[in-house]
Amino acid sequence: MPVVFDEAAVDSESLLRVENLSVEFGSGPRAVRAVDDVSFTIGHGEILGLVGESGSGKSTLCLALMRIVPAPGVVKSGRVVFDGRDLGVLSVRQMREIRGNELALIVQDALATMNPVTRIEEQIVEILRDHAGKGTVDRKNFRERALRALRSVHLPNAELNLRRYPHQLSGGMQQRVAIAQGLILEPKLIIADEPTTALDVTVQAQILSLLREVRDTSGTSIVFVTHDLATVAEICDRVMVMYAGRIVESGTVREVFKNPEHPYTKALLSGLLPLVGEPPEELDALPGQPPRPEDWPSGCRFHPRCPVYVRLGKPDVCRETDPNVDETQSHWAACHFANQEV
Amino acid sequence: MEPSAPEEIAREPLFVVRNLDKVYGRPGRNSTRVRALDNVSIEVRRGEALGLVGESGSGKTTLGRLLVGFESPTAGSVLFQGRDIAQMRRAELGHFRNMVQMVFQNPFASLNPFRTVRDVLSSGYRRRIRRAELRTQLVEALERVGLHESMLDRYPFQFSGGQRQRIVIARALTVQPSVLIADEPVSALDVSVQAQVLNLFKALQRDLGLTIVMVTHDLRVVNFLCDRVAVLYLGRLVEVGERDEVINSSWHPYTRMLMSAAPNGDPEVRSTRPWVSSELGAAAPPEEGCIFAPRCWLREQLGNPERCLSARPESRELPVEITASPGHVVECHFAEEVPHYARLAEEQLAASDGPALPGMGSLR
Repeated sequence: MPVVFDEAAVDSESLLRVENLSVEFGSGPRAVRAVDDVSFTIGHGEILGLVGESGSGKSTLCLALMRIVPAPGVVKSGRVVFDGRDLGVLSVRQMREIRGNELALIVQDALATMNPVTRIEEQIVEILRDHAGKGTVDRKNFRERALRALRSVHLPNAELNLRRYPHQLSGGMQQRVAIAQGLILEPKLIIADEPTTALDVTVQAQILSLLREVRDTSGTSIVFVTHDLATVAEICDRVMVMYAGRIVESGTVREVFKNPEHPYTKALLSGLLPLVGEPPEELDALPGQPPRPEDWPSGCRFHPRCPVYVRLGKPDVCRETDPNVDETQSHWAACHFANQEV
Repeated sequence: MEPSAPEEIAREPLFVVRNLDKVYGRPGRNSTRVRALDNVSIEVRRGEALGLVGESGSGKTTLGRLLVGFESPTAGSVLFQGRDIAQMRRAELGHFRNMVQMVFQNPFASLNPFRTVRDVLSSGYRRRIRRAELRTQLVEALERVGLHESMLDRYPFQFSGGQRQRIVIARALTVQPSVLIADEPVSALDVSVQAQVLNLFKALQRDLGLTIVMVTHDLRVVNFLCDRVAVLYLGRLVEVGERDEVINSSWHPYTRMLMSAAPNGDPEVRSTRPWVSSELGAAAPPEEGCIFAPRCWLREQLGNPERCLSARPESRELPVEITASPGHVVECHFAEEVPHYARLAEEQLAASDGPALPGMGSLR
């Protein structure tokens, strides 16, 4: 495969580097900026949690990483450097090679990604055939590889399930097949968008442990997108919190869970109810709801809901200025009052 | 059941569910028949918040729907204040339907898009109060759920999910019910909005003395809101007890498994799950023996006793000497052994420093 190598972009530390990425829907003055100036990196073998509510831009960001933002969405600015290559300048064909082979996407609704009238075997073999190139079609070998992939995700009765149709599998089994599909070409990076949200806790526990196992055994990096902080604590190394199209806090999971700096992160963590032991009498609820991309608030986008803003007597700076962040720090928060006692 | 004295009425539970079966599908066609509930007996006490938990397919939603009277039982009965819902005549049924209100998961589907909040709320009052009082009542209804009177003339699309769910709750309250049955009322809401609605449920129970039945898969919600918890598995009620006991020191191997499967939410504490094993398959539950036996870690620990496969365990109340409070019911032959073996399994795991999920090995 011909590769465009960008000398400056080669980075031994990180597998993926995202620089000032913005995604817009529509154009002109009515354009809606769903992802706004987002920068981050993912190291080799790292599991990065991306946390946000609906409308925060987390799923759009994932699509932008794969370069599959649906029209009328466009990547307005910034770049995505993956394994030394700037994905933005690759041809459609080169990008197709990378997707699946090196970058895989696993979505929440596994069933929706499968062809309902095709057996599991064909769903998996299809991927192999598409990426194998012409003249190398070797059915028997494909079948073996499909079986191996299903076994690697601990799907019970793999042989039997190869013959089944998607609807004949339970939700957890479908999600395992989806993960097997994602893994079969041994990608370097898996983007998992809410992969366990629709599943029962017992199944979720197994899928989380499976993703971790994949990382431990093959060194695959994972972007784990979720709205659930409890699962982040369970499997991620680092976490980024998104709010209204921007990253508002980033750090290692330990740092962020122990010393959250952004008032939004603090609210999310205090909303994480205790599983055992005495529950609080009442929860600290944030007022209002997350804003929509068509009307992001000015300045710090969290200020209309921010308890710190209210406590400080509504300082102008929150309304008028974007918080500056030092993204070279391992732990940072986009808040004017992040490191002050308030 | 005829109550003999007034004080007995007060102590009498609001709902008594007796040996309830619910089977879907045509009789005779065994391949299409699904037993959603199997011999379930439970009481709902006045003023309590009862959590119904279980995985998908456990029958928790079906039980909720039977309590409201949306479904009729295949066998057994649901008594509300001593009267069988199935036997109720028209007037009585009308009263019952006011007393027991339901809140669904999806607030977007529960409101008519062409009716304003005023329309939605007024219909509950219309028959009972004069026009002049209506406005005061409407404002009060909105304020009770944390909304403002300026919102009265808005349509559902102008509200967020959390606000809609509060409108749905406000509507349910207009007929002055004594019970709210809520099926996953916060699952569809954004995380930062869930807290608002959960606080509201707690306040309703505390301030209005409402009885709340919370159907949910979320054990954190149960721990926050509920006084008692009922755990369902494949249509059977496997454990019922006080929240603290079920959550923190369960006597059923399934409840232990469910609790340990939920992420603990603390990156410093590694989850240890000695007993999470294969998922609920599409397979029918075993005809004989304990319904949980195929997935049971305790059975394995005990050396696979014959009884688990041959005899269905009876639902029984544990003696007060071993539980802290009376009325703790479990359906397990070896419930008394659960705490000991749970501790043992955790110690074994800690010592071996093995994978967080050894159950993965025995998936087939």
